[in-house]
Amino acid sequence: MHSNLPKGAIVERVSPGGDDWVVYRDASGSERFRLRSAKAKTLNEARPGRNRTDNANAGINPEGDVFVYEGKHRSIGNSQRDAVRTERGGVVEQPGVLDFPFEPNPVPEIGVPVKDLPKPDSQNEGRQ
Amino acid sequence: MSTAQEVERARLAAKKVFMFEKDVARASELGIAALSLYGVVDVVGSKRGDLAHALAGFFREVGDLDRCEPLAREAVELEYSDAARPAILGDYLVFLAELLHERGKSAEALSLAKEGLAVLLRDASPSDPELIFVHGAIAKIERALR
Repeated sequence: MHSNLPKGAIVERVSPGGDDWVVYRDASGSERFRLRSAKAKTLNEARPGRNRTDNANAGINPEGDVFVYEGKHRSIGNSQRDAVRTERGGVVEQPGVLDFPFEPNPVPEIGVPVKDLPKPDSQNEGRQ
Repeated sequence: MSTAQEVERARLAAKKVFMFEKDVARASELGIAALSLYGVVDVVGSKRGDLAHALAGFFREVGDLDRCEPLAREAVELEYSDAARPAILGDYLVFLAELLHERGKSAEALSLAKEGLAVLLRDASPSDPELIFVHGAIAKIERALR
């Protein structure tokens, strides 16, 4: 998880096992989250239709797991082996790992594992 | 003037209310406050476009398509003026196309979705999983137009 962090990154927090997530400060001073998508949680299923955005945000839930606020579609897909481009939060040579901005405020809910959620677009492709 | 970070913070606050409290009215109020900050934000070009697109996404999520559409159009226009990020322009075009289709403007939606696909193909391999969804969106619009 620590390998491949950007040059100048300062590690601030690490998940208890050390392999689920890392919070670090990048060279510009922004706090970021390097996370293993298969271990991440979110509130519920992603709704059909993507926002097609690079916006992403993740925090830490009351159980110490990653909680994805924004970037649900990408997290669900990535946890089920979809590749994510680096400009959308993918990490070079680390499939299953994402790099999102860190949201430091406490997350009020535990959430459900993203790996157990259906990929909305493929499920609803052709819906009308 | 407001900063891009202030706009984003305000948008995320609105999104959290929508996510956790499921209070659409309150979330919308906060979203409108973020929109006011966006109106006087101190960034231009594609950086401003990114904020417009993010706000468009929020308003789509809360079902306020009247606020969503002009923001989505603005994001596309601002991204055109930059043209350095084909993957982003492609995404914004497809987002706008899906939105317009949702609003019954399917002819314009189809043309934008096809343009979006062409732009995305400049930067991606035809087997990119993202493109599967774009093909799906185009097929859906075409079916509606038949």
